[in-house]
Formats: sequence, C-alpha cells, structure tokens
Amino acid sequence: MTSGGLVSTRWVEPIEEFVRTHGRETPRWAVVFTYEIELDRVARVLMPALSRRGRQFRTVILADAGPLERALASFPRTMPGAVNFHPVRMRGRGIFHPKLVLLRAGRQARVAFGSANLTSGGMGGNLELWTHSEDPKVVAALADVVRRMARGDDRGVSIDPAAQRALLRATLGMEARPADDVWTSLDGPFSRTLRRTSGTCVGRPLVISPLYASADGMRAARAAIPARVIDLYTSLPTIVPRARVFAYDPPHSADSADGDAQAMPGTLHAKAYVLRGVGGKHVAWVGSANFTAPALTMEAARGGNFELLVRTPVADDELVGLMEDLTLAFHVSAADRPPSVPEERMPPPRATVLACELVGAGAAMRLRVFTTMRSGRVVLSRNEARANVTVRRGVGSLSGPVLRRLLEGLDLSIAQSIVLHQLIGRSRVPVVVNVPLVPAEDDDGEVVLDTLVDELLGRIRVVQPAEDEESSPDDAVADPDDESRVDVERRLDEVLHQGELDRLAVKTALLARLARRAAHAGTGRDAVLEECAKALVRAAPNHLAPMIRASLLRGGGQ
Amino acid sequence: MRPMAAFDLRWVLPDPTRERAIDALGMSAQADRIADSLLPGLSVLTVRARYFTFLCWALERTQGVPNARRAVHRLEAELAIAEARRHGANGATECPAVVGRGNARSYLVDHEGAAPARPERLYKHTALSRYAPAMRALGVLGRGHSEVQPSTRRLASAYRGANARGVACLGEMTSRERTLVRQALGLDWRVTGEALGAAARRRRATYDLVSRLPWTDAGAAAVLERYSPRPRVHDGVSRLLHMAFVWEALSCGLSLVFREILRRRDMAAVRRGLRRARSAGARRPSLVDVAQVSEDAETDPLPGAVALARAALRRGPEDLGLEPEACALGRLVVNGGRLEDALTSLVNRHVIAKPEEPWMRMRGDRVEILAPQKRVQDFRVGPRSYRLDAFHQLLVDVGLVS
Repeated sequence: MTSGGLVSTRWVEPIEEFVRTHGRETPRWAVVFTYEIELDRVARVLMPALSRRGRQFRTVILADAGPLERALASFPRTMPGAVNFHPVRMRGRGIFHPKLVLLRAGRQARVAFGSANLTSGGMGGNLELWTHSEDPKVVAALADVVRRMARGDDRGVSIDPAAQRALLRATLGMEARPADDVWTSLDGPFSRTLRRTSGTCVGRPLVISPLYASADGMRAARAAIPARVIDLYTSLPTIVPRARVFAYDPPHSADSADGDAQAMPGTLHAKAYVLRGVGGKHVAWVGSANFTAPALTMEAARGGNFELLVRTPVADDELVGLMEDLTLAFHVSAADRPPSVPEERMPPPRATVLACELVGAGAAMRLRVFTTMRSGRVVLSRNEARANVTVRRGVGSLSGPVLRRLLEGLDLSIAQSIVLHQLIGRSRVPVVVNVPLVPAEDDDGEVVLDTLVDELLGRIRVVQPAEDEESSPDDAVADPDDESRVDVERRLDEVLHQGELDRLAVKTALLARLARRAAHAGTGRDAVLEECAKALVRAAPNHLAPMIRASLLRGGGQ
Repeated sequence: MRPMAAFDLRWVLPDPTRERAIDALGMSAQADRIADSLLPGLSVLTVRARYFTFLCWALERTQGVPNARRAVHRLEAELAIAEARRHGANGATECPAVVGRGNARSYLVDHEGAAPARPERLYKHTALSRYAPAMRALGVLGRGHSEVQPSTRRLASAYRGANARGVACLGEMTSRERTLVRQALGLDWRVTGEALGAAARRRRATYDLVSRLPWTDAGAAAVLERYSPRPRVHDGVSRLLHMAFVWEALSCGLSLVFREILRRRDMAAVRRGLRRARSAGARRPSLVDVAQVSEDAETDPLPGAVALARAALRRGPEDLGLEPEACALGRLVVNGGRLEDALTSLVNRHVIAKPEEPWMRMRGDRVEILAPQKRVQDFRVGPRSYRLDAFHQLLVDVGLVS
C-alpha cells in the first residue's frame, strides 16, 4: 500500500508478538483453521514463530481435507515443532473455509483472523485482511467455536478423534461462550445475522470479496444483503443486480513516484462487509465468507461451507483510510456481462482414510486409522511396504512387525506428524499420521498423566522408537531459561527412581500448582483441576482416588 | 446492548521470507550470523542515535493513549516534517537517515509548505518498527505491555530536556542524551566486568577496533577490504571481519555470475564468458569497486567475478566456518568443474532461496525470466555493510568518532 489508508502488518506478526510477550506461560497451544495450506509456509514461517527460544507451542492445524491432501504430497522429511495436521470434511459440497489462529499461553489468549490462508498467498502474496484481538469477548466466542467443533456438536463437520481431544485440551480452562460479534455458519446463514444486525445501517453497504460466483450465484449472494444498493469491490469487472461494482486493478510500485510505496498484490482475496451507521457508528464483518451463495446463505449442517466472520466497530478515520486504499486499487467496472469465474473450491479428497494416529511406544506402538467408511478394508503403504487394515465402526488398527515395516527408516524421535499413502486403485493418496498431542482415553494411565504434566510444564516429549524403550526426561524439550521450571524438572527427576506413590504425590502437588497458572480462578481453573484429577485417578491405584481429588482441590482451589 | 469489541482492520504485508528480493542466492543468512557476532542487537536500520531518545519520549508520552502505536507514528512523522523543513533539499547530506523525510518533503513541496492533517499517513514503515528491536535488545525498552520502564523514562527525560533547550534536529544531541545512549550501547567505560553484558562486550570490542581505522566514504566495504589478508593478531573482531571479507568476496563473485545469467538470458553465452574468465586470470576487484563492476555496461564482469570467488576460496572459507554448500558451489563455478553443472547448481541455489517465486527458469540454454522486469533490472551486486555503516553513524552521533 502507498501512504494513507489502513495499517499493514505481516501475517505472522500477531503470533510473534504474542509469543514474545506471553511465551513463558504454560500450557502453550496454537489452534489454526485454514482452508488451503502450504507445508513450506508452516515449516518456514509458522513453526519458527511458535518455537521461539525453545518455548514450543503445541500446534493443531485443521485444514479442509481436499487442499490438505494435495499439500501432503509435498510433505517434507521432517516437519519442525510439535504440530499435528487434521483434515476436516464437511457435509455435501461444503468446504472448511475459516481462517483463524487461536493462541493460548497459560491464562493469556489471542485470536488472529481474517481472509488469509496458511499459504504464501495468504502471507502477503494476495491482498488480504488479517487482524487480531485479545478482547475477552471475542476470544471467548472463538474458543466456543473451537470447542463446539471438538465436541462434535455440529453435524456438518467431521474431524478425527485426535483433533477433538487436542481442540478440547487447547481450550481447557479458557472461557468459551458465544457472542453476537462472532458469526459462523454453524449458527445459521450469514444473511439471517446480517438482517438482524443491520437495522441502523445507512447508505450503501460496502462489500469486499473476490469473485467466485456465477451470474446466478451472484444474484443469490446479492439477495442476502438487505440494502437497496451495495458497493461491491471485487476481483474482476462484472455486473451484479443493484450494485455498483469496482474491479481490482492495483497500481504497481514501479509506476509510483513515491519512494516508500510498496507493490500491491496482484490478487484480491480479502473479504469484508462494511455497514455504515449514523453518527460514525460503522461496523465491519471481516473473515472468510466470500460473496457467494454457499458462503452467505447456507448453514454448515445443510451442506454449506464452514465460514467465520467477526464484527468490529469502524471509526470514521479508519473508514476513510479503507476508502483511500479501495479508491487507489479498484476502478469502476465497465463490464456489461458477468465474466467466467474461477472456482475457489479445490478437488475433494480422494482418500477414505480421514487421518491416522500413532500411539504407544516401543513394542506397544500401534497405528489407529480413522476412516470415512463404516467398515471395510484399506491398504496403507510406504515405499515398498504395504499393510492391509480392517476397518470396523470407522476405525482400524495396526501394530507389531507389520507396522514396524511400514515405519522403517522414519526418525520417530523428532516427528509429530508423518505421511503414509493409501492405495486406491493404482493411485497412492497421501494420508497424515499424527503422533497425537493429547493421548486417547484408553491409553496407558501413566502416559496420559505424564503428557498432562509435560503440557502444563511446557515440555514436548518425543516418541520413542521401538528399539529404545526407556523413556528419559532428557527426551523432552523444555523452556531453556525458566528457573522455576528447571526446579520442577529436578524434582521430577528425583522421584523418577522412587516408588509409584512418591511419583504420584509429587505429580499431584505439581499439577495443583500448575493448574493455578493455567487458568483464572473459577470455572476455568475447576475444569483444569478436573482434568488433572481424571489423569491422576487413572494412573493411581483405586483406593487413592478420593485422596487425590481432595489434595487437588485443597492445593489448587481459589 | 454490550459494546462491540474493537480491533484494527489491517492488510497483510508480504512475508519477508518470500520478499527478500535482493538475496537472490540465499547468502544473507550467513552474513547475518557474522553481523550478529560483530554488533549484536543492532541492525542496518539503527542509524541515528537520537531516535533512541526520541522514541522513548514518544512512547512515554503516548502511554495509555488509545492506539498508542499510531500516536507514536504521528509524533515521528511530525519530526520528519520538521526535519524536511529544516534541511530542505540537503537533508541526505546534512542529516541522513531520517525516516519518512523524503515523503514529507515531497508533500510539503506539493502543498506549498502546508503540513498534512494526518502526518502519520505520509509513510508506513515507522522508525519505531526499525528501532524497537534494537531498543529491546539494548534494554531501553521492555517487552509487550510493560515496554516503558525506568531506562525508557531516563532517555525520554533526556530528550525532553534537550527539546526544552531548543535542540530539535535529529543530528544534534545534548551531552546527557549522548551519555545515556553510549551507556545503552555498552560504550560507557565506567562500566566494566560482569556488569557489562556479553552483547555489550562484543559491541565494545568492535568499537575498539573500528574506531582506530580511518573511515572513508567507501564505508564498511573499505573496512572489510583491509581484512582481506588473514589477520596476524587473531582476536575475535579481526577474525569476524576477515570472515566477512571472505564471505562477501564469494557472495559478490557468485552474484555477478547470476546477474550475467539474468542479463544475457543465454546459458551458452554465460558459459563461454566464464570459460574465458577462468583462463584470463584477471586481477581481483576491490570490494569497494564491486558495485561499479556490476554497473559498468562496457566491462565484462565475469573475470572480476571469478577473481573474487577465487580470492575467497584461497582463504579457506570452510576452515573459517562459512557455509560449505556455498563454498562448494564457488569451487564448481571457478575451478574447472563442468560449466553446465556449475551454472545449473547456481540456478538451483536461487530456486532453493526463492522456492515460491524464482526469478527465472532454464529452458535448455534459454533463460526465461519470471520476475517483474523491474526486479531484475534493480538487482545490484555489492558488498553488505555488516551493520558497520550504521554503527559508525551512531558513533558520530554520540560523539565517539568524528
């Protein structure tokens, strides 16, 4: 952008700033929703920002299954950091389209959202709107969206159980409640929300969106916006009923005499719905929803997309700034007919495997395979090795020598996610295998407990390959400069070779302390304590359960 | 009804890992590591010492103001306007490196001297964004919400005092301002031993050496050139400057060859030129002259490129700990490997450095340019400054060198 107009910021800046400011707090989680994904951007931009000074964030990335499947084809040998990838499948022709980053470090949280995918286009290759907030109301509303997905409340959305566990754990202890300022297509179509909230709107609403709709689609999308005339700022010259259309035609920096001018991106991808109000009370909805019928008029449970928009008041000078940028980059459309438009939707996924997770360690290691089919058989392969997996009730399992052959040569000591292939006919379709960030309910009690302790301490424990079964505290990567944490780890080391009860006693006291740091007093902290109690009770002999609960409530209470 | 939550609408700035337009061969990471050892905490953008006191004052003054960043931007833009008025067309020589002054001057000229209603809109890349990382590293600014701290207030108070005494130009500082900035840089010799942090010790060591050298208009390039022979006294700074020389000689040599590929767009022609250059045994151009070699349309730059890379390789770059892949590529280009392989490896290095947006691709011997013409034309080859130019100006500002 040239001088004037809105502020510009790098995509990763809100993340870097949050990590810099709050990175010492634990537990550390990052939840990312995106439609498209480029793994190179994850490895080179996102994960370095989330691993600053060794303070690694447990990172859960949910992407639409179609684009993720394509991205996995270029999966690097090693993906840095503690990251799990989870495909999302929507009902019908809907796509998983929100763009959201939820960061959580102890009691601190930040959300970043807008139009930008986790791709080079999203990171400045396209014209994108991307903003962030620590407002408790917005954070709580978006935490609620994450938690609803995790609980599987929304019938239009399918994710694997490891994703559900990770999303629940990432928001554990956080306040989560819906708010009027956050809309998702889980709640119903945006057109309904817009009609309900645009009562005091004056003048022409301003719509910014790339053009993905056909002529009929545009008519349907236009009908979703309750105004006599709208100003549509879009990517191509077109005509839309009851709309003044402006097409994106940005100047190039080379054409500018302004020495500080930056090149404007060549592609429009930003989406915003700005409603002018009386007395400067303007509002803007920014997020993922394009000016198309599926985005604006359909809800997710009925085959629509999963879309996300967040509302903010817009000050007069901010609106002036936005208009300056739009005036610079758009020109009145001279089209007399709608153009043929590109489709944003990428091909749907081919794999019937939704995702896999690798659980257990050493000889007990096994692969859980989650599929979209109820029962049947899938064939997984890696290099020359193949394995048949029988699926019952949507889940298959693989272990023993067959699994070892399949994983041979992989360095599991550093990986949190790897790629296998599903054989479909003659095609090899990549499927993701996560080493889950949160163990399953039926995992070994001590593993569940240790994972929780690590998480609350901010440590990352790595998977042990089969030939190296002895787990050691050195395998966990911890925050290098936190003295209190070093002290805690020393205590854990000290009890490592003592009796089971001593270990439990130390961990109980530790969890009570850590729970206080993880959440504010009240229902949030109670939820963390409850999770701690569950993990301890599962790891402890039965007769100790009442004592553990009492100890936790005494130590962690308000 | 509860009030709505507010946040700023923002566009996304291009990702710098895609944008590093100048670093066509991915040679900057190694140079950054050397510069980090020479002058930790500083950058090539931290040029004027008075910004440290001015920005502390601006941050203190805007504390608690809604959208404080924008308020600071406004204050620094007002400073840029005042500087543009004070120095007119001679700003670049009289008082260099004032952020936004070029745009401020253009605005004043276009509007008959009237100041803009919203000065903060004159330019986008703020002085604060350039100086804040260094200010944090030097301990004059905290992190996050508590960034204004006692040291910030001391510098702010010094700026306020200077302003009250009518010291307004960014190039002038009161002795109190100078003392405080010297302390922040670690150049207050009353502080010794453990009280001086590791980073400050390094900056002081670099100062000790650099301040003894005659400083010329050629700046850092001339300093690096002095360290082309392996230093006899092997202290840390001499070694680092020697490493910087070797790396720049290799980097400039390879970059000149790459520029010829972009310019000629014919691999066969570049191969012929390189073959001649390998056998010519030309004299190595000084680092000071590399930019001129690169620009001179009359002269074939390839003999100079080969001589530069050979000079680097003769000094054992791997033994100095420099990136071995680049050294191996240099050997392939200048020391008799197959030229087809050498040039393909050079292009591959470019593609790895710019995976999403390579500037070119090879179609047999033809070179297809993918980047905008302007980017290719603007690609200049010259030595990096390793923050020495900026550091020298800081030293001038705080009165430690003249």
